[in-house]
Amino acid sequence: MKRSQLRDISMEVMVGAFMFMILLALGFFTIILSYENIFRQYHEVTVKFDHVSGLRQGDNVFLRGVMIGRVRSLIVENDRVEVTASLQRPVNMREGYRIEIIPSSVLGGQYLSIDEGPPDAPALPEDTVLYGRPPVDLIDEATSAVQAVRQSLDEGEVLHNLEAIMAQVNTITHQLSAGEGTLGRLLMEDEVYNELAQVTTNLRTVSEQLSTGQGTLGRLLMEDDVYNELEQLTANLRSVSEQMSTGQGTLGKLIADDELYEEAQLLMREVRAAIDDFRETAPITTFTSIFFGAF
Amino acid sequence: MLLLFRNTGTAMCMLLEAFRDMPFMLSRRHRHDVLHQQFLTAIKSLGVITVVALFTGMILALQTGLELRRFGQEVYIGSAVTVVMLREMGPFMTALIIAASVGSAMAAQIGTMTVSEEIAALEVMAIKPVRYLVTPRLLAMIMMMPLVTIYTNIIGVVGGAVVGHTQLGVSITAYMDNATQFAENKDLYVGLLKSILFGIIIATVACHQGFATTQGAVGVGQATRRTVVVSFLVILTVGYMVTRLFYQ
Repeated sequence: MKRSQLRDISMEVMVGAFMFMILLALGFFTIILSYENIFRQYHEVTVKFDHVSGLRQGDNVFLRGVMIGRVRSLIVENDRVEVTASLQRPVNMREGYRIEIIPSSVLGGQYLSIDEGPPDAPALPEDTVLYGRPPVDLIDEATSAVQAVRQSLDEGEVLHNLEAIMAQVNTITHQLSAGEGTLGRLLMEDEVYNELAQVTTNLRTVSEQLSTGQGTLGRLLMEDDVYNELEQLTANLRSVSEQMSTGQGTLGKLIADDELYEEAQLLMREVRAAIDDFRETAPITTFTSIFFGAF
Repeated sequence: MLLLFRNTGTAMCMLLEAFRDMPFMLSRRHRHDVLHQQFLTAIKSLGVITVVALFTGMILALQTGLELRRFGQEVYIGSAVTVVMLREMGPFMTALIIAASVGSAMAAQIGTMTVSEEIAALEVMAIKPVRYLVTPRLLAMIMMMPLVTIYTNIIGVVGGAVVGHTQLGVSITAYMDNATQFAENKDLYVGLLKSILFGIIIATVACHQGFATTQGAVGVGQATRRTVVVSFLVILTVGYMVTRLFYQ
C-alpha cells in the first residue's frame, strides 16, 4: 500500500471518528436537554393553576423537598393554566394535598412543590383534577407592603403629625439650648449644679454626724441608752396594764370593780334628786325671802 | 459602495454555483477533496479550538461566578456557562478560529492559484474552478462547523465546571444539574444553525477573496487579511440577526 493511500486512510479514520464521537455527543446532549431519559418510565401529573408566575418547561418538581421530576408542558386554557409534570415515581395524592409554585431564588426561577397530604387522610381517586395554589410573588408582596405604608403615610396624616411633632421637638430643643425654662436652666446654667453640689455636701455632713452619733438623731441611732430606757418604759407600762387588768390599785378597781360603778350611779341619782328638790323649793324660798325682806 | 455591491453579488453567484455543484461531490474524485477539507477544517483545528474553548468556559465561569457569589448564587454558573456557550460563544468562537486559520488558508491558497494563473489553466482544461475548489470547501465547512461547535461547547462547559469546582466550590454534580436545568434543545440547535451559517460565510468569503486576488504575493496577503476581517464582520452581523430572530 502506498504512503499516500495510508495517509488518506488515516485521514478518513480521523474524520470519521471525530464525526462519530461528536454525533454521539449531540445525541446525548439532546436527550439530556430534553429533560427526559428514553430508558426510564415517567409518570405524568396534571395540575391546574390560576396563574403560574413564570414557571417554565423544564423547571424542577419537588416532592417534600426531593426532586422527582420536571415540568413537561404548560397549556393556557380559558381561565386557568394546565401544568403537566413528568415524575420519576408515582405520587398518590390524598385529601389535604398541596401543590405550589415556589420561587427558587431571589434571582428568579420557580419550582413545583408537591405535598401529597397527611398520611392518614383518604386517598383521592386517580381521575381527580388537581388544583395548585397560586404562587406568592415576593416582589408583588414587597410592592404591596410599600404601597400600604405609603398610603397610610399619605392618607392617615402620619406625615403631617410627624412634621408637627418634629416642629415641636425643634422648638423644645431650641429653648433648651437657649437655657429657657427649668430644664433649660438645668442644662445650661451652673447655679443649679452648684446648689445641688451644696445639698450633696450638706447631706454628706449630716450622714457623717449621724454615723458618729452626734446630735439627738445621731445618739438615737448610735447609742443603746435610749433603747434601754424605752425598753424599761415598755416593761413598766406592761406591769401597769397588768395591774389594771387584774383590778389592783385605784385605777384597776375603777376599771375592773363594778361596785364603784354602781356607787357612782347611786350618787348621781341622789344628786339629781337633790337638785330636783332644790328646784321645787326655790320659788317658795325666793318668795319667802322677798316677803320677809320687805319687813 | 458600488464595489461592495459588486463583490457581494459575485460572492453570491459563486455560492449559488457551489450549491448547484453539490451533487458532484458524491463522485469518488471529489469525495477525496471534501474529506481533505474536512480534515483541515476540523481535525487540524482541534488543538487551538480546545485551548480557546477551555479558557472561554473557564473565564465565563470565573467572571459569572464571582458576581453571583456576591448574592450567594454561584451554583448558577452551570446554567450561565452552558446557555452562553450553546447560544453564542460556542458558534462564535469556533467561527472566529476557523475563519482565522482555515479561512485565511483557503484565501491564501486560492489567491496564490489565481495570481499564478492556475485558475485560468483549470478553465482552459474545462475544469470549473468553483466546482473544483469552492464546492468541496463549502461542503466541508457546512458539515464540520456544527461538529466542531459541539466540540467547543463540550470543552467550554467542562472548563466552566473545572473553575466552578476548584475556584468557586460548586460541585460537578450541582454544576451539571444546573446546566441541564436551564439550557434547552432550542439553545443547542440554534447554535448549530448559526455554526452552519458561519461555515457558509467563511467558505464564501475566503474563496471569493481568493478568486479576487491580484498583484501577486502582496495581493495574496491582502486577500488573506480581508478574508479574516470581512468574515468577522459578517459573522457578527449574522450572529446578531439569528439571535434576534430566535430570541425575541
